[in-house]
Amino acid sequence: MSDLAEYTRPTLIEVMAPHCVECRAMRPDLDAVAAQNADSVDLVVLDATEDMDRVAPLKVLGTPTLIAVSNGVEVARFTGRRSRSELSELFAAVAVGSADTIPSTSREDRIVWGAGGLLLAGAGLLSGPAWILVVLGVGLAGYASLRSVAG
Amino acid sequence: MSFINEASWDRIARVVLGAGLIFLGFSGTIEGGFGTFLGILGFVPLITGLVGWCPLYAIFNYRTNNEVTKETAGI
Repeated sequence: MSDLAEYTRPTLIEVMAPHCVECRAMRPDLDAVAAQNADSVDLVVLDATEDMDRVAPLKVLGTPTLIAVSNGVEVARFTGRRSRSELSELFAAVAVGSADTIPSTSREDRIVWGAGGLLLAGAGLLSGPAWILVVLGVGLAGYASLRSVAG
Repeated sequence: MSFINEASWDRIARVVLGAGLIFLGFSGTIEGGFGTFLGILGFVPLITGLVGWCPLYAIFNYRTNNEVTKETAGI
């Protein structure tokens, strides 16, 4: 918390780790999008294995984590790998201070959860129906739908 | 997340396979104990696909989401 006050410009903090495959996979896209938006958004990369003093106060639960900072205050947090198009949307939102409108769950997760929920509900409907499967499937698809909304 | 060891195609394939096995097991398409077994077994690929993490991959230090990282091994 205390460190964030130093970021007066719109900033995206990436907390990564050298052993993190998802971090390495996202690296080229993140660097490219950051370069495109260098005039409006600062990218700060923190290595969770080296910058412990700066990472610990952020209470990061996993890597990669992207933290959007506006006027020295955290406004949104995103954990997990993001595609280049998602990163572009995120940088654009951070630049105008509306990062909190971006869903906190990745598009891949939402697609897998939504498809899984619908398939499970379908299997349940065709199996009797087995209402427990229908309820689980609808619940899962609904959860994926809810995660499409920011927050 | 750093624990994920499945590629997107792997996750989707597991979800489809899991839902298919659950359907076969609980719809009566395959009857008897084997059908029930298949139905319960279907939850394994379904859940591992939803989570994106396969315990067998972890045990054998294997992953299917490494195709990009071969090009970007250095940070």
